[in-house]
Amino acid sequence: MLFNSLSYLVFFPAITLAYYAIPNLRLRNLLLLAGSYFFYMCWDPRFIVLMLGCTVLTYLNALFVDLSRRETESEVPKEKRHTGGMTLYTGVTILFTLAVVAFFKYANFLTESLVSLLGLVGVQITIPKMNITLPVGISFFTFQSLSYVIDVYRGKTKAERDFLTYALFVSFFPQLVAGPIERSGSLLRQFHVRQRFSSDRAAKGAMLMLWGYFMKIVVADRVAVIVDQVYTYHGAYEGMIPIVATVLFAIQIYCDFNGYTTIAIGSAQVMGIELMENFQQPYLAASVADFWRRWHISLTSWFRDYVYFPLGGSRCARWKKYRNILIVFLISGLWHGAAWTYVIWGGMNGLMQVIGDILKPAREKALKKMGIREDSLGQKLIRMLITFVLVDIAWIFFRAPDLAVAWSVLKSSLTVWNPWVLFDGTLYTLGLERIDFWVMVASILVLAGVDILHARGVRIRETVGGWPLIIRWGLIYLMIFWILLFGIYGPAYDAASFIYFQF
Amino acid sequence: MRSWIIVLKKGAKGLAFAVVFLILWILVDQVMMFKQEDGTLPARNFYDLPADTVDVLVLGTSHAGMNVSSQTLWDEYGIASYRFWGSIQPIWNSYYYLLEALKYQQPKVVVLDAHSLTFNQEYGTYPVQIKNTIGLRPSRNKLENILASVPEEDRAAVLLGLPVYHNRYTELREEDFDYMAWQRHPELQVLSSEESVHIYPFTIREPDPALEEAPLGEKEEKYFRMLLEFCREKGIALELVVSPYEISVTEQQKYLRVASIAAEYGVRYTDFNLSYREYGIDPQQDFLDPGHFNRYGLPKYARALAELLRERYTLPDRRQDPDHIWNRLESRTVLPVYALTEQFDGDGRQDFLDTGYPLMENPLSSWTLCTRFTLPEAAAEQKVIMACYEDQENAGGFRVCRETGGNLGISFGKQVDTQVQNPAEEITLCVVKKGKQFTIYVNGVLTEDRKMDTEELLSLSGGLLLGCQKDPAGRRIRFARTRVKDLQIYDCVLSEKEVLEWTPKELPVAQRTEYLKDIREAESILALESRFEGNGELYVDSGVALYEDPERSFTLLSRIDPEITAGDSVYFSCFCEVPGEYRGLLVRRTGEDQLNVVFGNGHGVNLPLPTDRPSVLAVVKDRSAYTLWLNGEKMVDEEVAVCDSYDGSFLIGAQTDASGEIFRQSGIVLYNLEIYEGILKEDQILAWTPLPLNPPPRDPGMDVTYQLPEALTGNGRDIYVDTGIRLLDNPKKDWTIHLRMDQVNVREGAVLSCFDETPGKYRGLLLRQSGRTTFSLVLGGAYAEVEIHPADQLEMYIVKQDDRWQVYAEGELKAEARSSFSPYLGNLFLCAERDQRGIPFRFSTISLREVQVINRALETEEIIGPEADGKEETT
Repeated sequence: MLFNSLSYLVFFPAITLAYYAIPNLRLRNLLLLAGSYFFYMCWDPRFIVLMLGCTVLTYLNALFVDLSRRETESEVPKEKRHTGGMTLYTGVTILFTLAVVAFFKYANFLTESLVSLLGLVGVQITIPKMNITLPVGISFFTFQSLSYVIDVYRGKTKAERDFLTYALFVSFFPQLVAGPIERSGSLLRQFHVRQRFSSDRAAKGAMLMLWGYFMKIVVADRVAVIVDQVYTYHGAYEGMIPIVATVLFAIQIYCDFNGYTTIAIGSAQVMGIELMENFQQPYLAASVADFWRRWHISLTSWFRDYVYFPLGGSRCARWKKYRNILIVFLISGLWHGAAWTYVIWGGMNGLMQVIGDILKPAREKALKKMGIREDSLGQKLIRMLITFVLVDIAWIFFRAPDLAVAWSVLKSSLTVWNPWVLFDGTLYTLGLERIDFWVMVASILVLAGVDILHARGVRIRETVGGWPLIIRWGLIYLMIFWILLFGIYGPAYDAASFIYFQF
Repeated sequence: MRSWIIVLKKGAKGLAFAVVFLILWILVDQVMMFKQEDGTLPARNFYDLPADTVDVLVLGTSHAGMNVSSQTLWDEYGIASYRFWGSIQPIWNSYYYLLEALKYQQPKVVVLDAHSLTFNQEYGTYPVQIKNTIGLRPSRNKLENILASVPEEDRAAVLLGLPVYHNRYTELREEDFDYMAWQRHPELQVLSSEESVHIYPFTIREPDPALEEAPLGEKEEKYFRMLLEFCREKGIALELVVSPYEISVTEQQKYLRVASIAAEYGVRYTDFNLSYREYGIDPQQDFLDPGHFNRYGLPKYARALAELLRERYTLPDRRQDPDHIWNRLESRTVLPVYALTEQFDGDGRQDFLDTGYPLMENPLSSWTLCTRFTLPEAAAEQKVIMACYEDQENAGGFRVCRETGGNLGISFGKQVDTQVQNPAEEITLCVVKKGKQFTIYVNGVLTEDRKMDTEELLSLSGGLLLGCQKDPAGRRIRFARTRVKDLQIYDCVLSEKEVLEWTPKELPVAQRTEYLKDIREAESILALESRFEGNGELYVDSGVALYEDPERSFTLLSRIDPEITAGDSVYFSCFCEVPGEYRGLLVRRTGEDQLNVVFGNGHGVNLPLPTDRPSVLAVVKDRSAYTLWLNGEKMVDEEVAVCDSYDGSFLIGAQTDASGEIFRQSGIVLYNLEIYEGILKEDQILAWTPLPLNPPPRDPGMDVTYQLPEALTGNGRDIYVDTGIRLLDNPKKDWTIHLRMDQVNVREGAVLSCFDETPGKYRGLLLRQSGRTTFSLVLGGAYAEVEIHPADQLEMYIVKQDDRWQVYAEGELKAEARSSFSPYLGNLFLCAERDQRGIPFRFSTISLREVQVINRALETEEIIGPEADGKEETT
């Protein structure tokens, strides 16, 4: 069940009404758990076993660690005590969970890469491709469970005794399939509190959902039409067109991902649950490192806490720090998808940060010499622009189906100069007609405006909330009908087939 | 207590929000919804009909929806029918439509076209699902209809509607805003195909008597039986029909099964594929495609259906019920669809007005025409005041004229001809046409009230003309001197009261154009800048499409010379040469002393042309009337020659053939030519004597200086040299060619050439060796042979000075000729000749030691001298 499906628009109000109608906390959590499992099973009921297995494994692991720790007598504070058994058990859990993810997500990728590698050294082998269906959300709920296990091991959080609550933590439907990847400390605690219905909070949550739908089905899905056209027929386009398509892809992936998590955060908020913010106007970042502090925050912080810091973080030799960055981003690339394009995309992002860091002293010195203040508006805008361009170049590898296509798009973008295609109507031939195209432009401008206001600290929902009712409602209706009319959804129809009489 | 108030307030607010949202949703939904005649609108508009206004409910696919003419049923029988249809409507949709229809109407009979029972499908295609579900109002029937018609994944979207058509914002039209909740459309359903004259001829398959039943689709039979049982249960009269179409054998087999099932329920089943001949339906001309009638077939099938229904059911003539919605709608006050803005003042000679209103296009349409006009005087031929008429056998139309005997004649359809004797000087005429019924009022008196047979009807595409009519070839004839003071046409039926109360408006009188212009103020269309001297090749394309607007008036003044030097004898033309479509203006000589002028649609005169001096010819075109003057004498006086538009250009010295190619380039001389917009005053035409124009300056032609860079030996196959110089681009140009060549054997092919090989236009310079001691030459248009003595080498000079040619060889003048000729633009070739396409041929094997072209004619002394030197060298 997708958030942008009609069934979710029935499922969500139904479960919310039932949730608030039940006075008992435990029953409420039971309802949410059942709802979440139902939500998950709408894709493929078989994989519920996987989620349940992951839940049981990590639940027991945490419980074991917690109990072992209590029984151990030591000078060390209780939460810092580690025994060999705890470490072994936790290690096995982590490895096993990662192995399951690796099997479902990377098995074919690894075997294909192995075959290619052996082929390079002259060894020809054939490994049949396995027909593996990737369980939806596996990268999210496993990472969330692992963070919990590691946090318990590290003594940062206590093990959850109530299996029901823990199972809900792993499977809570709003953030189950696309994040944000929550930490146990914040989310688990909220499931122990009986939330009272607040119409203001529900309204705010609903508005957030509306904004998420706008990003997802008006902007992302509309922009995708052009992006798909250009990347599918990349050989037919050159110069400015692939550039436009890549810029639009940057907008698409932002709106697609952020739209989805915004709907998740809004849905949870309607039920009184606060989820963490996942994006903070990433395209207003002033450096690639800054971009990653604003992009998919829950995943970046996960890698920071559970990979980067254990590797030594930045408090070590410079080369080690750069090594750590590169490792984290290569893994992050792989996390996003099982293909070399993703690995390269991750590697590029890591590399750009490393280069940025190396060049930093020289840049600062140059600016100082030229008498330019680093925090001046012009300097900020230039850095934002450069960051956007760099991130965009990396996105080419993220979007392209393989390296050859990525290279072809990059090459034709940089080697052909044809700015007139922006003005001669070519843009209307990429899948969106004139009206559709300008609806897209208008929607992107709205999006940009909102992001800029957010960055300047304007709390839009609060601000709008203070306006007269007629304007407030007018804006909401405008947003609803903008989505209803201009959203890319519903069964497609071919106008021509409606015109002709048929027998 | 306070918290309850807050809760209530918040609840009320939420409710208000939801209500406003719902209202906005409905408004947006109504704008975005499909508005097709096919499926959607028949369902949407059904609800706008007042209760108990439909007697015959027609259900089914397009075979029901596009083949049953509700208009004919109403016009001819007063049967109130409604087609609740959609293309490829599956039987389950017909079933739920019936259920829904019966909530609002009590039809006396339900007609179901059984075409959909030949399908075998779980669901129709997506567009079919949409068309046959989405127009219904939200109801249980709609829900069940969608459940039966739409696969599960699309049901929610189809139920909500907007998800299906929300992206129609790119195609919104005015009509999309014409179907809001408060806008009603209870009109009689009209078929767009009632206008269609397209014909798809085919033959309807005769059934094989040995044919066996084939089973119906499972779902089809299930819903068919549900429908039959529902009708039996509710006592609803049901008629099963199959309209004629290009039927297949499988369908014939399935219809046998349909007949069996219908018989089980005692329902009459009529397959018109078996009985279409009885009703005069002709598959060779009555269909526009394999399944649907055109305008010729529609009334026939409607009549067949009406007869079938009237056999069993008493269907009231609803036309007699003034309260019936369709009668009430017809009496609405409407504005005319055409109205004169100023009086039409015809001169009886060539004035007319094409209103452009296709009065007779649809023979079954209803309209009212009201007009007031003055009666033209009676004459030896009919004088037509207005007409939308085809003047040939088995044709007709609408025409109002003054008959030769003085009566006012009003023709209608193919045969009707109403005569009004002793008509008044001014006539107020109102014609009311209601389908086949037409009524005529002359000066407030009912003069004719008659219903025409279908055979009397006809369809004409042209607009209503005032002041004349058209002949079979489309030319305007029978012009009437009349003044039409007012004319209004309504596309509806006005009541008798309205017609009798109609009074013409006081329209302004059209100002006659001030035709006569002063030559100094007249706008020039074309003026020759220098004398034109044709040579059989030259011509001038003025680029002026003089006859693009056949109503254009102009005055042409020309001074022509009788001498003809070459080619044909066309002075000027703007003339379409396509046989049967001759039109425009053509002035040429057709005899020694005869000038032929063709004008308008092929009218022509021969005028005596003095041969000893130039003549002045003036052509005055006053729209369609021509006046010709030759040397101050009026030869043709306002002869009317109506002409259609011709977009060809005005040519001087030539004309175009039927395919538009230039031909008849003539060797005529035109001293002057001026064409003015409008008509010049007569005295100015007569006084027009400009000085003859000077001849155009000659092109000096290109410099011909040339030296062959190295000796050239041809191989007879492909070796040649294109020198790139044009010797003859200006016939007056002088030059000399100096040749030195080996001269051993006789060689085939051309030694040198600058020669036009176009048949009939052979001219130029061509040098060939025709014998061991003989060279043949073409010099301009003349021919010469040069005899020489056998020797190893030969030196030759060819000298051209104006039209004099000289050939020197062996130090003496060998040949001399005089020849004038027209320019030739080909290059000088060595060792070959070029054919008429410009491709080299006739390659020679001769060795040319030296070729030199000198840019002037050498004097004899200059030539003899070098020859003497040569002789010294060889000795």
